[in-house]
Amino acid sequence: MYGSGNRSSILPWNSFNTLEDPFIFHGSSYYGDLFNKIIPQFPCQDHNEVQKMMNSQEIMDAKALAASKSHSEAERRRRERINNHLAKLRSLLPSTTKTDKASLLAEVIQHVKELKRQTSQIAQTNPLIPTEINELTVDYCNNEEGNFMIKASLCCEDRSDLLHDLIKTLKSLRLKTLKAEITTLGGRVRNVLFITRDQQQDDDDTWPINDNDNDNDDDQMQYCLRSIQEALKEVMEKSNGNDSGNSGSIKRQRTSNNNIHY
Amino acid sequence: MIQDRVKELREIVPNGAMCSIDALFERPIKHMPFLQSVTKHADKLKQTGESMIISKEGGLLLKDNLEGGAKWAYEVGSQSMVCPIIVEDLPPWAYEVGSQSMVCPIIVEDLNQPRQMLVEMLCEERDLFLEIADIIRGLGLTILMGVMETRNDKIWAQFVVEANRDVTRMEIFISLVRLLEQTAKGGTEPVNAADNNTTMVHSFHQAATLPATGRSCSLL
Repeated sequence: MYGSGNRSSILPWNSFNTLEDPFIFHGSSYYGDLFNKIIPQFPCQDHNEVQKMMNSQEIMDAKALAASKSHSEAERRRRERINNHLAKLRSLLPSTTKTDKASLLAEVIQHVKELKRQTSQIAQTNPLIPTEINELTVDYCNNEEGNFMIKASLCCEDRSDLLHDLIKTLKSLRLKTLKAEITTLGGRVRNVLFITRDQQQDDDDTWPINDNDNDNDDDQMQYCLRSIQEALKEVMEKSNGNDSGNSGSIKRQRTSNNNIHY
Repeated sequence: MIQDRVKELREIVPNGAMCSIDALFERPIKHMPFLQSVTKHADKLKQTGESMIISKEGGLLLKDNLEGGAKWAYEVGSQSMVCPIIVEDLPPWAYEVGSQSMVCPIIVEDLNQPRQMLVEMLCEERDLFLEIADIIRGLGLTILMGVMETRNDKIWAQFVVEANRDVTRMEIFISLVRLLEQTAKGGTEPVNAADNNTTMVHSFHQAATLPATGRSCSLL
């Protein structure tokens, strides 16, 4: 735990300012309590003073003790978190009599497998149902008249400003929507959008020009798909911001002009 | 023994191989309630795509249902309420149904599940598309299944929604009319159309206090 120079990342021995210096105490800290216990009659005021009092071996011992104390604290917190998760998992299972961790995990695995089996069957008959993990696909497609369109399918946690963000993103890319399918279930939503260039907004040539150079066309098209994909990915991942690992999502209230009144 | 289970869990959880144990356990906590919802409610999500207003080819359906009597509201079946907004003076962009024009008809219908409704509309406003869905969302309605597309050069939208509170279809309807009017006004709209939108809402509000002539019509 101590002795090797590589451990200086725990206690930055070489980079002292008064805030980081473990020998100068600005409040309670492991180091503060520790040093005051070791040398109670010499409350530590000054780095230089202390260095004169202790030899380097004692200093390293003290460092190590402090580090191991904070490490075991972190360990304890981590174990607590894991136990909380396990308790939560137990409460989510439809019925369980098992008390030991291994069997509990086995039941969770069983249950999740069964749920996934059922939902993938459902997804076959209804492909619009959202998936449990975030998913984004963007690709070209043709409509009935043979016109070029882009189909973007986005699955993420539902939030009240999601559509607003999609509208903003599409506008900034000078795209307009021809068709949309929205499906919300269990707090997650799938948006399938059929989009194309907005002729009115389009001042510059952001879309492939119709020239004879096919390679150039391909590159331009790939570039378009990629930019749309990146922009939509941002919108999708914003939904993760609210998620602190809880199963419920935090719904933000929009400041609303939409109050119902007669 | 536990280690084997953890290994199994890593295999079935997406991206499970890389994360720490406590992060690994968080995943099923998140996914299980969602997956359970899907198995419980997915069969209730049915959308026929059939419209009460306009057929897929763009032919108007409502004109067959309009009768001379009530100018402002009539029933379709026992549950739904249709309120075509009728304007006496035809602006050049409105389409005619017989001798009356019908602009932006909206249907709000109660469904069998509590707090669930069907909202259907046909909209002239070409600059709105996802904005309509955003308005619906902003009214506290979750879009369980929504589809929007252009039909006959107008926007047709049908939403199966679930309200986050007890609300009547009348309230939803009126809010929608007001919001569409506001949003349309804010956009690039020809001046006379904006005027007519106001006229529409006025005539509706006035009409709302008058009883229907002839047939009984329940609003709430």
